[in-house]
Amino acid sequence: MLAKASEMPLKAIVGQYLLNDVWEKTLYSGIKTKPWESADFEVVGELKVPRLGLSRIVLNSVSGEAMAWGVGTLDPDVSKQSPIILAGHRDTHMEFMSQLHVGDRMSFQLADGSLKSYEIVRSMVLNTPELQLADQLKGQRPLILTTCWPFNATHSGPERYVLIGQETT
Amino acid sequence: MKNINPSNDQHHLSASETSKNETRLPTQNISLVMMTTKSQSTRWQAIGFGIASFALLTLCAMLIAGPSHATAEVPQVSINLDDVESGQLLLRSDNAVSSAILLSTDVKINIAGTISRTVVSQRFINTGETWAEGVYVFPIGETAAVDTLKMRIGDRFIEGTIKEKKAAKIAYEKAKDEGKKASLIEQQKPNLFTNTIANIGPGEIVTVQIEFQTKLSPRNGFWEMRVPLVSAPRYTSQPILQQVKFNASGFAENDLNSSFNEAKDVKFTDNIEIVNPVEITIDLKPGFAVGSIESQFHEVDLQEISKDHRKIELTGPVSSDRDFVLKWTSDNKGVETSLFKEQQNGSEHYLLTLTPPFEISNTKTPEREIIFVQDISGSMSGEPLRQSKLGLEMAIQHLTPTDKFNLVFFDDSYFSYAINPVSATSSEKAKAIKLVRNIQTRGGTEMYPAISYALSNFSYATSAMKQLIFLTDGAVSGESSLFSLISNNLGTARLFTIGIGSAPNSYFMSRAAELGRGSHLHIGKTAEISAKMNELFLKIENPAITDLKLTLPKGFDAEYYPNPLPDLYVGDPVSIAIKGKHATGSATLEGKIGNRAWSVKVPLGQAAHHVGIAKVWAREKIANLERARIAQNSNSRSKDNIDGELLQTALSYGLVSRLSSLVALDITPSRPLMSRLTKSKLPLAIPYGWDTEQFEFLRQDILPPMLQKTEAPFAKLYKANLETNSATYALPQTALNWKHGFMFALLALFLGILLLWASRKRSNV
Repeated sequence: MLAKASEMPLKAIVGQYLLNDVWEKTLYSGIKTKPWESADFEVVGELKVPRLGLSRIVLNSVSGEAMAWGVGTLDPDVSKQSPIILAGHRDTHMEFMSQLHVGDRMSFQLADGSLKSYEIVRSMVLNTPELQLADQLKGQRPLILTTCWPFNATHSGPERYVLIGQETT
Repeated sequence: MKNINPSNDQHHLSASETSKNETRLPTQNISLVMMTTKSQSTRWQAIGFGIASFALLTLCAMLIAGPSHATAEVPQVSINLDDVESGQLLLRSDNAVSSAILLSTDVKINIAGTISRTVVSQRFINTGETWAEGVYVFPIGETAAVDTLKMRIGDRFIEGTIKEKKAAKIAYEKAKDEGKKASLIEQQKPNLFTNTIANIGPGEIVTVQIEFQTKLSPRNGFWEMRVPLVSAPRYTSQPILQQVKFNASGFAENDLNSSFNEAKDVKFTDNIEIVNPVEITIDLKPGFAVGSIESQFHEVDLQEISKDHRKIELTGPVSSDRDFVLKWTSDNKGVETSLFKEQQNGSEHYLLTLTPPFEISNTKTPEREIIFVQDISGSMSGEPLRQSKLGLEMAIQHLTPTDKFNLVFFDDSYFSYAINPVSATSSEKAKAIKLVRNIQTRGGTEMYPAISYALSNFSYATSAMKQLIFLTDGAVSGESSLFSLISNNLGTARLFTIGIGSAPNSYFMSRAAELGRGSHLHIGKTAEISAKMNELFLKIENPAITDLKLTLPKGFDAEYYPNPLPDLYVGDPVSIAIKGKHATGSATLEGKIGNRAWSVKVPLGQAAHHVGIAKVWAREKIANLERARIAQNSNSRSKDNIDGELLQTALSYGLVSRLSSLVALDITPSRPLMSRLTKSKLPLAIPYGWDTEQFEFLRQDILPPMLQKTEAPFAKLYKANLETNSATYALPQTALNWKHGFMFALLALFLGILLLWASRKRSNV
């Protein structure tokens, strides 16, 4: 029972080291790679929050399997000109979202080495797991972080906490 | 920490404050480890570190009692629901609550006899720059209940449907889990309707339509209908506009909306244009020839259709700066009857209203027998008893020599003033008052024997009117056995309950009075005792018609309520709701005015059609079933039967009751799957049967020119549900909920070890 219960947090912690390794290689080679043969996702980027001194390896999937190991992107193809929406478990990888606020800066590096900085301009709680973005906003290619809300809930609900980051130049 | 937190989560926000420091620990540790392993990591090393930090995390998890969430002080602006005096849409967004700007109000009222049915349609706009959660509130009065709800939020349509309470909860939970918009409406305060509306977009227009029914109660021949209009914010007032902005938390509006200057671009004037216009139409069929009619604060168009039918309309749209009050009187000299009809569910529903004259011609007071029962138990100590004694004294003063009376006092035992009721001569009255003045509170409350005694104390041989007047704070136990005692032993007597003091048990007292076919009076302040007691005694001294009986034509199989019929008092009309099939001929009402027989024939064929009569009937039936259920005492089988019938009635007539509630579900007509790909916007489809006048509109047609511009700031950003194209992203479930499982497992492990250790120790001995 203990093993079962600790599987998720264990995966979450161990996963980041394993993925870090893969990320280093990916960044070096510029080719997106699967961390291991059986994986159904690739390592595509790294999210950093300097103020909290943390980083998260980003995978291009939000499947249950992928999110157990790291933070995922909603759209598997991150090179498209669409908003980057990141999702992660509120009690593991995205727990730090509870400490972020408007004005905080983050950076996101893609596998091709391109690094962009963002500033959080907006935080909100959605009543339903649907984020609606107007086309104008989509065009600005924001970096959006999402996780379940509230942070300390005991059950999974429809509410989502969303942070919108705007690219800074 | 400067998070923006929704204000509805206050409780959990403050609770997690303490765990803030501990929570940071694991995160920081991990990131440190990560940085050191970066360059020379192998998988095994990583796993080793993982296990190490996992152990650390375990420790931390044990330290953290509650889950983690960092928070900041949340400045909260709150609006007290007690202060809401008219229809308002309160918006909750980020960390503030404010009132949405009201665009228009349309009120349609249909009055038939003592029943009024109101349809209120209001439009609001969210002028804030953020998505907001709204709460629609409307004061409906204590005797009313909303049975119909329709909403348009942007281009979404939401309709309330009546469902069994259990089913309603399930439907609501299901819709919520699926991420759909839904709300369960349960009246929180008896006189206020509230409904939560999720996700109102910036610049979105919200149209709410509610329908409710009220029982009108005239005072001294004066009838009054009040429409609450004042106090909703209007866009003429600058301060409120500023309140609608929620930007204190640092949303970088300046960067994003630099081209828009609210103060410059939006101008608010109230001189040229009517602000938040109100339209009111009233169809008045009071059931008697109208004496005078007056609109107190507004100019109205009055249309006289017949002597007992008026149409009242505001001369033009007015601004909602004061309540609308309509007053009318009857000039009838005798008892008048009126009959309305509505066909529904394959049956005819009638509402027969009897309106007594304002002044009774019969001056001869009928003989009466009055027994006063005064509660002197411990709970009445102090002010309640002092006031109650004052009231009792007044009541005794009021008696005339033709009346007979007795007094019964009770705590855990009871005693009476006389063995049998005595004539209210002045010497008897003086003696009784002296006794009342010397009464002190004593022990417990045993109501049953006292009421049982009082009910049997009436001399059943005489034809005198029998009235039991019960003064108590109603702090009783065993209510159900009292209810069945009253309904089984009342006979021809009437029970009136008077609650004096600040917190009487009004549930018990009003139910008891209903079962006792009398009325309940609550007197909250000492200053009111004299006036209210007087009013009650004047009323019950001289009923207009007693022993009322309804005979329906042969072959007309019908159900009518209330059953048994109540007495008719001066200035207090009685409505009888009848349901049946194939009515022909006349119904006959019989009764007694004083000692004279009275009767009237009502031809059923001459009933005037009127909307809402079927609902009136159903509501009366439900009230009757509730009374019958209370009188059942503890017979659970017949209670179940009554509940079954009650639910059936509530569901087929669409009424909110003890067993049914209103669930609001998204009924937006679905569009073709590919429609998002087409550039042109599809015309909006209004759900079938909805009032097109209220719900079908174009944004530009209903927004005053000066508000058209408010669209500008949001258009740039989050104008998702509005006219621009937008995309919806489904966000995944992102919680593992591992902490609780983990703690549980840990606890199990710990217990296991403990057990093992204990058994070892034992075997060692």
